[in-house]
Amino acid sequence: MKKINKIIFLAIIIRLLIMPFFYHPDIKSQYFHFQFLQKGIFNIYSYLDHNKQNLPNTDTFNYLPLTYFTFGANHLISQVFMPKDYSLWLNDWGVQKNDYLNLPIFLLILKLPYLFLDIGIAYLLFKLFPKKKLHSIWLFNPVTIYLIYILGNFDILPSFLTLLAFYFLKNKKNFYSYLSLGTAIAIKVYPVLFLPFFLFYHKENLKQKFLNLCFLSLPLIITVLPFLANTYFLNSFLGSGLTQKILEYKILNIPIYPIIYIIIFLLFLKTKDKQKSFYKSIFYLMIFFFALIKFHPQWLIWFLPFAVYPFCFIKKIKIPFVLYLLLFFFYIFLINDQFLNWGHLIPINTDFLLASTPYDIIRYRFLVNPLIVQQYTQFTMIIFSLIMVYLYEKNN
Amino acid sequence: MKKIINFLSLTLVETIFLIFLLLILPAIFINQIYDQNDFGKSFFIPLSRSTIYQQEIDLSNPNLESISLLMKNPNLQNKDPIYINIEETNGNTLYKLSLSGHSVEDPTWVPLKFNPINNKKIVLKINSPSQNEPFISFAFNQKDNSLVYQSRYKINSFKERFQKNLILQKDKLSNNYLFYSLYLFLILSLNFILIQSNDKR
Repeated sequence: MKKINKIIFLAIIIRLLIMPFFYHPDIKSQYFHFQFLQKGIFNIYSYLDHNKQNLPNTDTFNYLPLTYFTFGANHLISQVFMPKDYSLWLNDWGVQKNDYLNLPIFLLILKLPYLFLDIGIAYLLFKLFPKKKLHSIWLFNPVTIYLIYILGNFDILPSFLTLLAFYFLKNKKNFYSYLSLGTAIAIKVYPVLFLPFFLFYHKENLKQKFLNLCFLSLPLIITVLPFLANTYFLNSFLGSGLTQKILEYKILNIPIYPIIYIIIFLLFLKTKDKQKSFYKSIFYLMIFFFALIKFHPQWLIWFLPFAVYPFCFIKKIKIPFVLYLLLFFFYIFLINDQFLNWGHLIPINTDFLLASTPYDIIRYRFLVNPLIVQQYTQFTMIIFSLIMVYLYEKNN
Repeated sequence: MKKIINFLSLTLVETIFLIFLLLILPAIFINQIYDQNDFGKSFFIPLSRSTIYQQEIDLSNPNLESISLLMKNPNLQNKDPIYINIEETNGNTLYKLSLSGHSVEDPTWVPLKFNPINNKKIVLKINSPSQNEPFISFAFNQKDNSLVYQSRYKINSFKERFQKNLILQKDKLSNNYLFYSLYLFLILSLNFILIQSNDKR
């Protein structure tokens, strides 16, 4: 236990050194919306639509109500520790929007809940595999640090809840497991991808499966039902587009990812050792997801807690997986968005926005279309995915 | 003694990391200074044949190497040329630039690049022979009717870049000394706890 404490302290120090100095505009736009809870706004969707003309940022709120209430509450608490110009910063979308001396303080305070969730995931990994070093791999790899503290997205919360759900599932505590998974889905819909694997993890009769679905639905019913009749909610939420992205890549007009998903699920159903197969299935879902979908980088955190297991235990896939992740980052750096490059460093100096991005360099110095390079990168990721599947199956 | 050495080593590594992040990295990669005349709220005026826009610009730094103007080409229809003269205040021409309506989108920042200018003031003159509507429009600030522009100045040497960034970081530090003191105290405390837990083992 002392060793764990030491590891956690070191991990916290590393994170504290990163947290104040890296920024992505998502954290600001999300908290711009979350702040309205403090003003007593219950229905954020209608409010934004009715006040479009008067708001400094006209983006719609594309998340679920529980996200708004959870992080709205966090805004209420964190505001106590914030400098005076925090509210000014949140509502400043003009040319000076990034030029705030206190920006590192805002970022440090806003990212503190993510630190607890991050350490929480490491703790769960330790509980799931006490004698292994999965928690250390989680805490000391640059990918998780990038996803949680540089991108600073709240996806770490559903990610934590999904792993918590799996921890309960493994310990046959179905009520807590499905309640936790349902809460994760009520925050962000993506854990639905894992639901079939949860439902068939244990051998259970239909009645129990139905009960599990009822437990799962509880958080959704409580938080989403009051908004279902609200057209502004439906318009905002349906505009977020994960489903569209999943269906985007097609061969002969058949979307590829859903087909791969079904194959992975059928293979999961067929295997007897559901625990090992669970990790394998999520790993496969992940590698094909990023190879076949035009992704947002923060989505990697959805799968990553489950990918630590294969990375740790299937030695043969280590090198191809590292190469796959390098391609993942290469793809991100080719996105024409300063805030996925040097823009992360604007808390240090806003002039980082003037530095040339890889996109600019490839486009204007090498006169190559970066979108084509991105396509080749994803194609290479598909090849690496297939290699990893081959090596994984061979190992089994 | 071992504890003290470990504590100092850890603190040294962290200090090196922070120095690299806050001082070295910006000095390597930020080779420009940015300035702008954009107050957020603007309006567009079309540039027809009879119009010449003229704007005197005070240069806040030496080595001006580009000016970007906010333009609008409605529905990307206008393909006519636009002529831009950069002059000294006494009327001497420094640069004559031209661009085609092809390169103007709806709306877009159009960068004008040239060899570094070291004057303290320049005059920007813009005109177009275009007779075809819709004309290309330029953004003006509602606040003072001045042309909306962004300017970039080149910083040549690493030393100069390092010094400029150092001034900025000092400024940030002095404005937030309480936060940074608490932040450093927190890191040092965690270092101390970490070293202690190391020793107990």
